[in-house]
Amino acid sequence: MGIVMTDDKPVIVFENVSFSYGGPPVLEEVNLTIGSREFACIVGPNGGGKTTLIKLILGLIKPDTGTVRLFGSKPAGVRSRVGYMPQHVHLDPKFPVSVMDVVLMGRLGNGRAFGPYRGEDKLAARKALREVGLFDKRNQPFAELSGGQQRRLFIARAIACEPELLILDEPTANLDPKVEQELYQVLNELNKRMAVVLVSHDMTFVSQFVERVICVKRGVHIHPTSEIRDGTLSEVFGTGVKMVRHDRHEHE
Amino acid sequence: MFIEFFQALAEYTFMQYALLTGILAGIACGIVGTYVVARRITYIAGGIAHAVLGGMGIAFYFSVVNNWQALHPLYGAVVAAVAAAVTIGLVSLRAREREDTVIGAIWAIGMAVGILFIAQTPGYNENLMSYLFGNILMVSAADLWLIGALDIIVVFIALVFYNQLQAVCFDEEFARIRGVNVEFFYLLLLCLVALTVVLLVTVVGVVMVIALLTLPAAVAGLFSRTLRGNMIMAVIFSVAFTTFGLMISYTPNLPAGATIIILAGITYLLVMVGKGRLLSR
Repeated sequence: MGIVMTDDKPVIVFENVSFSYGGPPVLEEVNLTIGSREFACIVGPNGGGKTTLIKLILGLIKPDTGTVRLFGSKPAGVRSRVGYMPQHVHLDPKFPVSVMDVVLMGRLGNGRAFGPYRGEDKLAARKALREVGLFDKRNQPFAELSGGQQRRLFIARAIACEPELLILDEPTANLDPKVEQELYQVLNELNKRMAVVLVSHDMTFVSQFVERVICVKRGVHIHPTSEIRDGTLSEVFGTGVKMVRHDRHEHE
Repeated sequence: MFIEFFQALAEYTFMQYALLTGILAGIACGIVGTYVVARRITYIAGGIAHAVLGGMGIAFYFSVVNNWQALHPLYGAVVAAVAAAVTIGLVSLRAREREDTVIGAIWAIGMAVGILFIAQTPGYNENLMSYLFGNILMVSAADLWLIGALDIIVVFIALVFYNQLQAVCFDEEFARIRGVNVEFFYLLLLCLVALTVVLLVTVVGVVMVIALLTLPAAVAGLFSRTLRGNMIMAVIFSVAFTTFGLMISYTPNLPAGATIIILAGITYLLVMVGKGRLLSR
């Protein structure tokens, strides 16, 4: 479909992109445009190519055919303008590090090869912590945060570099619905000044906030959230998937 | 109780060298040991430590057979440690599933090579024992210069790249996206571990290195919840263990390396039990 939702320049453009890891194609003939104030959600079955799509956006892998443009350029050169929150299943929950130190990691790579953080880095980190409501916790150990606080901390780390695009990989996995809702409110607020793209397996809450759902299963199918009905996603996912009930005007 | 120790310290240069070696090694040990414990790469450090024996054995053999006085066993140790670190690092970056096998192989092959070369070295020697279990009282002025140089290199690199190393240890994937060269810093960290292991081999020997590398950082970790604080406390504990270990071992003529390790082990257990009691109340 490839609708451009905003008038200004798109942040992400895919043109006829195909990719495989040497075997069968993971993504085939993908066309996709994401605008600079868009809030989009990528859904799809496991192994359907969601993470591959993100790696292509970030320029960590190159497409076999077709082109990927990030802010109108090749992704690898402009990757530092993207705020990224990876899946954190691999993290050590007891790692000895303070909340402030974690946020400051988001300031790495801004032309600095070594040495301590500068004053501007600390200012940006403090600002990011205020935005996610963790400023009071800045001197606490990472290990003492709750699950929801950890996710907010990782959002703060992702936005500490003052990005134009925020990408989040499964930001709400294993959170209870109330905390999940709070997290989307934070993202909604951030969406006022940057594009937000998130990967999710569960659309119950997302659908209240996102404008478009990008379904990835080898190909990419784009649906404005208003179009989503029971059945649309089952075409993509196949059977046995938690169905999305999207009743647009009935917020609880 | 320690009067004899202080008398010896005032009188003999070998005691002064031993004390200084313990302090210098303790500084690097606290800083790098904290990275090792936080990143959970104790097993890698173990592999590197045992590979060191191979390097020391080869250097010792050629220095005796060819009469190359300049070829100090510590040079062999540095080369073997760095080679083992880079090998393990590349394997763990490129082919994760085989990592533990490779570490185990390097661990044992390093030991085997060392034992072969030391056995083939002509003349009676007790070097094998001092390589395996350390002999801090045998440190010479030349050794001390080398130890000092290694110490400065390790501490300088570990502190200058503190932010990068911390980020790579905590979340590799995020660090990569931020433009940090993750592979480089991971290999750099393993090389720092390698050099620190060489420093500690002079204090406690190949076999007990792992304990001295990890116990001070583990004790510090029970008190401090940030990497920086952990390092400062680990340095204090490392230096305290080597210094008090040396003091305690002197009068009863105990092996200094073993005394240091037992002191560190007992401290760790007591602190753990003490903290556990406080928490359960």
